[in-house]
Order: sequence, then structure tokens, then C-alpha cells
Amino acid sequence: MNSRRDVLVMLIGSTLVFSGCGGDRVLKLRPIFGRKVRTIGAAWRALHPDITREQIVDDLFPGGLPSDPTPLVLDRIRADFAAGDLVMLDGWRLSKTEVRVAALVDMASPEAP
Amino acid sequence: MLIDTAALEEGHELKADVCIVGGGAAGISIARALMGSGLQVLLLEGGGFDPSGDSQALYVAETKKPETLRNYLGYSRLRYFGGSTNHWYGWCRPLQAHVFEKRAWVPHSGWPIRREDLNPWYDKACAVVEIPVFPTPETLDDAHTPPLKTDPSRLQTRLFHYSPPTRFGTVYRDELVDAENVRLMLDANVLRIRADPAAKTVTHLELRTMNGQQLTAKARGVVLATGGIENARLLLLSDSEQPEGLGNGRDLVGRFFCDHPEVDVGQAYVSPNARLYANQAGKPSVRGVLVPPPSLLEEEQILSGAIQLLPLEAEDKPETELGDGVAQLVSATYGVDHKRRKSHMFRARVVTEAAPNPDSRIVLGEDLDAFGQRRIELSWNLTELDTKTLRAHLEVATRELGRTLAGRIRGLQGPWTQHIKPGQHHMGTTRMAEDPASGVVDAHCRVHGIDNLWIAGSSVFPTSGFANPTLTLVALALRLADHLKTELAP
Repeated sequence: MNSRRDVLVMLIGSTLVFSGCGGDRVLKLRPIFGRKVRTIGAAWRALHPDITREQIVDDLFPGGLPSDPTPLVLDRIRADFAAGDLVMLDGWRLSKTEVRVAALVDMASPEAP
Repeated sequence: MLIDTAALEEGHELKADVCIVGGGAAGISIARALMGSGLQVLLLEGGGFDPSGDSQALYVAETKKPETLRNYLGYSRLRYFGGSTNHWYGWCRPLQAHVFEKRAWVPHSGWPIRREDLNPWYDKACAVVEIPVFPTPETLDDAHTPPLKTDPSRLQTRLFHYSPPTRFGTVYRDELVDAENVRLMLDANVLRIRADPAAKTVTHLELRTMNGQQLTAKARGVVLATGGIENARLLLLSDSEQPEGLGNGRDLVGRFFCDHPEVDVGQAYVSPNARLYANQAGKPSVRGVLVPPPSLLEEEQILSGAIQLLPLEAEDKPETELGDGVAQLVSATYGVDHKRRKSHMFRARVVTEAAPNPDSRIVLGEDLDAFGQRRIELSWNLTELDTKTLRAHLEVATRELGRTLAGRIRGLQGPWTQHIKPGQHHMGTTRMAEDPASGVVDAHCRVHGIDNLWIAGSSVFPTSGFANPTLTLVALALRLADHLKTELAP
């Protein structure tokens, strides 16, 4: 597994680029998932130290990566809050989906462990 | 006319058709409403036109429970002309209709009047506190941002008007002094209400001034308007003809004390569309709060309540890195510049109605004040319904703000109990009920069993809703004034 394929997620500006079996795909998320969001991801990862990028992507996109995942991600965030499917990090009540996306951002960060 | 108290001889007897005890929001509202009525009105204020330490010291009382609020009753009310309107912030809105109703999941709920019965006086009360009438138009002017678009079955926007705030003692002093049929007396400290031997009719009031003058006041009708604590205290102290206290044959006077429980839960980051919810006193004079509808309250079996957004305070800082990430999350969702995020960061406060609780009460203690009167002791006992309600309102708001992508809230971590504070609104101690077994006053605020004694103020509220009480107590006072015009017509 070369380093490029190993890195499922990269942060380029405000856009995530997913690389996988099907080749590179740009995850056109709006700057919601910009660099500072990685602090959320880092905090969540600290609670789940063994989680992998593959597990997160599979969990987020079980039907495969859509060409434009932003609407899907936002819909899932809305659904998480509606259902109370929330995670508490340092007191903040956040959606299960948004912390996972934030974890991907963190994993893609050069400073990430 | 202003009575020259110092010129009165020892033992002087003051006479009137109506004697109002207390020159706060309720007492002043009634006196003004009776101007030109043909009734001779005597308005007795225990303090002066200005605050004084000696007068304020008469309000010292001990809070037995919770112990963290030991001196709370000493600073949460003011004893001079205008009463606590001398330090209120001016938040005004009527109680919601469901607050007046009997709710199966809220023990001891239900007023003997409906919200619509009070509507005409709510409109008049708005004029008294110098605000536009409710309901506020849905379409706000350009000075306001629109309400957040939430699912109305989960969370709705309700508006408060800010009174300037009206300082009753300043704004209405001259017209009361100039009124032909009103006499205002300062330093008029009522120590006892005296009644006939059967305790069915008030005969006179025993007064004393700060320099020891003893006076009496006689009137065909007496209105107690001394606030949510002192109304009950004065009845309990008036034990000459009824040993348990006047109007206290059912041991209800002083029970059901309530205040608005509130908790500052933590930071909230809310989209720029939330500006309406963060308007501070002044202009614009409308402020939104986030409120679940009555249907959801029933579904969740909780009391009414609201989420307020407040400016961050020093203890809320420094901002954490994670909070900064949350700020970016929300601001980007709304497509705004993340650099301006601090203007969208607030402190979230949950304010709720209090559960009516007979074990939350004031009683006479053993300590004496400067007049030798027993001071009161308060036990404010919150119930499981109170804490359930506080948590549920935070949960509803957290989920709906998140669902609409409009905001995120940082909730309290750990036990809540130590964080619950009172809103400094004293209510319930002479509650209103049609049945004398359930309340101290009837639907017209007349003390059950006493034909010429009425009570004005928030002490008559059977339930509190989440709204600040001043507008409602003024509306009730104006309604009582109209009732007195009929009852005591010459």
C-alpha cells in the first residue's frame, strides 16, 4: 500500500481529497471541515485511539463515496441531532457524523499523530 | 398629596376608602388606576423616595435552603418607593396561555382565571411599563434579524420587550403626589393587620415610623402590595385575631414559594441569524428566546422554559481550541467569515418555570428586625420535575439548533444542582385558587374568608411560567383596581 493510497484523506485548502480503490475523488465539503475543525477530530480520536480512516469512511459512506458528499454529510448531521445521536467532547454536544468527518480532517493533518 | 409624616401626632389615625400597603410596581399601578375614581386612596410606602440602609435592613432574611443563597432575600428586592423596579432590567412578556391551565403532569397547577381573562389588562400593563402591546408582529423592522427557522413542533421563538426600564418610583411619583384623591405616605411601616374578633373583616393597620411614631390606618378596603415575600410575612405576623396568621386557616400562607430556576449551562456558538436572541437592554427593544411549544412540554412531561443567549463573561474565557473548531463548524455552515466568530459566541442560559411545591416555603424565624418583628426564613426546595425540566430544555435546544445547523451548545459537565440559581422573582406565597383549601386568595385576589383584604403582586401566582413576572403582576394589579372600583364604589 503506497503512501498515497494509504492516505485516504488529505486536506487541500478547504477541500478534502479522498483517494481509494476507485481513484482520487475530491470531497467537496465546504470549509465547515477546515483546519480548525481538526481539534474536534483530535479530541474524538483520543477517545477512539484504534479507529482507522477506512473504518470512518465506511461508516460515513457505506454506499460508497458520492461525487458530492456535502449534502449527504449535512443531512446526516441534521439527522444525528434529530435522533439525539450525539457525542460530548469537552461539554460540546456534537453530531456523530461531524466528529467523524473532523477525525478525517485531523488524520489528514501533517501534525496528526 | 404627600403626607408630611413627621408632622403627624403620635396615635394619628389615617382614613381612606382604599389603603394600599406597598409602593412598588403593584401598589403604584393600583394607586394610579384609582386616580379620579372618586375613592380616597392611601398609599403607604415603608421606605422613602431614596434608598436607605435602615429601611433595606428590614429585608434581611435567612435562606435555610439552599445554603448558597443565604443572603439572597436581602439583595434581590429593594425597600424604597418604586420597590424592586428600582433595579429591574425590564424584561416583559405575558405568561403563555397554557401556564394558566391545569396540567396533569404538574401537581398544584392551574389558575382560577384564564390567560384571555387577563388580556385586556395585559394591554394596559404594557402602557404602564412603556412597551408596545403584545403580540409583537411577526415581521420585525429592519433593526432586527428574523427568527431562526426551527421546527415549530420542537422549538419556537418568543419575544420579550424591554421596558426602558420604567422606574415606577421616579416616573409616577409626581402624578401620584399631585392626584387629588391619593395620599402618599413614606416611612409608613405596617407592622400588623388587625381584624374583628372573627377575623372576617380588617379593621385597621398598625403603623410605625422609623423614629418610633405609632399610627393607625383605617380603610374600607386594604390591598397588600409588599412583594412576594413581605405579603406572606405580614399575614403571618398578623396573629392577633387569628393565631396562625391572618388568612392562614389552611396553613397555606408562605407555602409554594417559587422563583425561576436558571442555569448558565455554558458557551453556545450560534449563527449570525441569532442576533435577535442576543439583543441587550436598550435598542432594539425586542429580544428573542427559544421555547418549546406546549405540545412538546406535554409530551416530555416538563414545565415551560426558555433558552436565553447572553454575552460571554470573563469566566467563560479563555476560549478553548476545541471551541474554536466548533465555531468554525457552525460559522462555515452559514457561510460567514470565521474571523468574526467571537461575535457569535454566547453564554447559554436555561430559565424555567418552577414546580409548585408546598414544601418550598417561608416561615417566621426567631431573629427580630429593628421593629421587633420576626424575620422570615426561606427554604427553596426544588423537585425532580424542576431538574428534569432544566435538562430537557437544554436537550431540546441543543438538538434543534444542531438539526438546523444553526448552532452548538456546550453543556454543563457533572451535577447541575450546584449551578441552579434563582431569577430573583419571588412568587407563589399567597397563591390564587378558587377553593380556599388550595389557595390564599380567590380569583379577584381577595383573601379567602376576609371580606375587605386583597393581595397584589407575584405572591398570588399559582404557577410562574418562564417569563419575568412584572408585566403579569401589573396586569393583575390593574384588574384588581377595576374590581375595587366596583366593590368599593361610594
